Amino acid sequence: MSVGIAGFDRIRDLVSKRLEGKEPLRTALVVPSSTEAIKAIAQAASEGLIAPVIVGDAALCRQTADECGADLASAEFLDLNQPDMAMMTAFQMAAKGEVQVIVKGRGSTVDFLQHLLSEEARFVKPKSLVTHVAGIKPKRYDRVLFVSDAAVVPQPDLKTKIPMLSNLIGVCQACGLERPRVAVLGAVEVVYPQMQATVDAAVLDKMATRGQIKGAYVDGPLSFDCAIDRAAAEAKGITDSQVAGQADAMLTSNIETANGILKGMKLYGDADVGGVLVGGAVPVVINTRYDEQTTRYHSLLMALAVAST
Amino acid sequence: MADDPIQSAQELIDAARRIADAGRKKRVAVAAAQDVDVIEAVSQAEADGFLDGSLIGDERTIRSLAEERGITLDNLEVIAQDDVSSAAHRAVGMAAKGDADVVMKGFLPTSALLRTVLDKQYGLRGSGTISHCAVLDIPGYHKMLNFTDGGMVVAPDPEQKYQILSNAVTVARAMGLSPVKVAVSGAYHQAVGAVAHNASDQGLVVKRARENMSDIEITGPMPLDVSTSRRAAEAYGVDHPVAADADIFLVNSIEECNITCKALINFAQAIFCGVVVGARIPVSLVSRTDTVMNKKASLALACVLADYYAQTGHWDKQGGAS
Repeated sequence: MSVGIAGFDRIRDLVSKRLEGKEPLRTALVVPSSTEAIKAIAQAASEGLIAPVIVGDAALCRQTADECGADLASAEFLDLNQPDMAMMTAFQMAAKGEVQVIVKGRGSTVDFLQHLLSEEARFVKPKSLVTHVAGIKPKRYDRVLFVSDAAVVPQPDLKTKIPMLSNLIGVCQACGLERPRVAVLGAVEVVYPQMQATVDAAVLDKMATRGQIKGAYVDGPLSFDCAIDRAAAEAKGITDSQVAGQADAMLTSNIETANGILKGMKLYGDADVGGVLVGGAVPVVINTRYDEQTTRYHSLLMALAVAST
Repeated sequence: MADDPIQSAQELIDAARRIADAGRKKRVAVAAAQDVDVIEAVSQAEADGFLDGSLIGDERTIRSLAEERGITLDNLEVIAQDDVSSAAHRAVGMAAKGDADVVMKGFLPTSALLRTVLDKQYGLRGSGTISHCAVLDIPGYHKMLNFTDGGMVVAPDPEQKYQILSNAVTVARAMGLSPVKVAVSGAYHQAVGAVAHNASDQGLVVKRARENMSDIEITGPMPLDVSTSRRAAEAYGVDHPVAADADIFLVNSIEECNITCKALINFAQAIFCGVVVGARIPVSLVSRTDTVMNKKASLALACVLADYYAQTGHWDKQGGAS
């Protein structure tokens, strides 16, 4: 039985250890007027993990920080009142290596993504794919589940799922899993030609077996319960899998499925959650508007883990 | 039809019991009943007093499975019909003659049972599209949420999506919900750019529902959080009757439904009640991994739906392709 990542504190310990004796990671907070984002940034700064670079309305950010008692004394400020300008500036800074992590503050995620993916931002290199990886630690599961993609790629075809899987494996490894156990999810755990998700899953599984996809145990298609519950897997006759019953990560066949897992666990799973965008010049934290400091901090930890690898 | 809106699995069981107490106890015909989990579910529901059961199948196996698990069959009818296909025909035939109100799947493939249910000779065809409703009682949500379709239609076209919605609305009516609040799922609450991959299909369904269904509130795309959480709805400034109060979550794919439900069942202790809708009788499926409560609640849902059909003359009003 593999260990998995027992909780987000393990990721924090890993990041702290990697950064020992090194400069904290320069982290841009873009359009900063979100209380919970500022608190998370201040927390990570106080722990010596990051050097904040505030890109946005400086006065408003200072005022918000004062109101919530967050200490931004160590932060650099780039005073840009126009949100579009602030976003583009941060993406370009990242492309030039001036910041190592970006955190989205206030504003629409859809709008933010459109800017991030735009050519003008020069944030995404040709041929790379930006994907979202959520980290979810439900109370009733023994490890953090890394789930992709709840936010960016709507309905990937097989060709798109390959880099998505690589991104997912990369985040797992950055968070400390040497050889993550990845379930490619389906509604069922057998292949039906009329269910494309099961066909794609089987192909990805085979590509991993043959070494075309590296660094992980990959099994698919697996139903959700077979991925996380050994007894359910055994009841379905799955006994030789390195993944079934102990999945560290899940790749879903469309955005709504990952979104359903993430939102369901966030609201009803008594879960710690976080999430990061990878595949661009630097890892990026996007959060849901109602996310509190803890969730934003967890997301930041995931981004720092990726940036410090 | 329920007097008060049914908002939990326990209320579903209570409603089925009230129907039985009012002299309308439902009979469930199990096709190929040589499946110990199914026998157990029916026997427990019978003991709870909300249904009568006919176990149709390989009698010797049925009796030995029951004995192994210490289940008494005294109050259940056992009908010997060894051949699986004949057992399915016998169960469906009982429903066609009005001798059973619900057909339940035993030890045979779902597709084989549904083929029999839809066999023209029985006149049990309904709206055309058969869909599955997974009605979840999620601790922390103030009502039940009907996820559909997670089992029957792999890639529904707009017409099928509308039928799936219509089937789910029927279940909601049987549960006494008014108005019925429907969220059409989407990862974001706005249909924009790259994420609007299915926006046009959704738009058609929403428009048609608003034009043709009464006593319904429907909107989309709406993610699960905005659909069920006041905090999320307020954070996004969504002020719609469905926000934070959805009864039905109309999904975009079989994977979304199946996987989201399983995440909630496994990690949020949601109670799952499932029923197959679209034929003139409800078809009940339970799986081995269902808890006793899940199985009973699924049967209760089927009984409540069957009673709604009978009391309202639902299918006579609807017509159907029988």
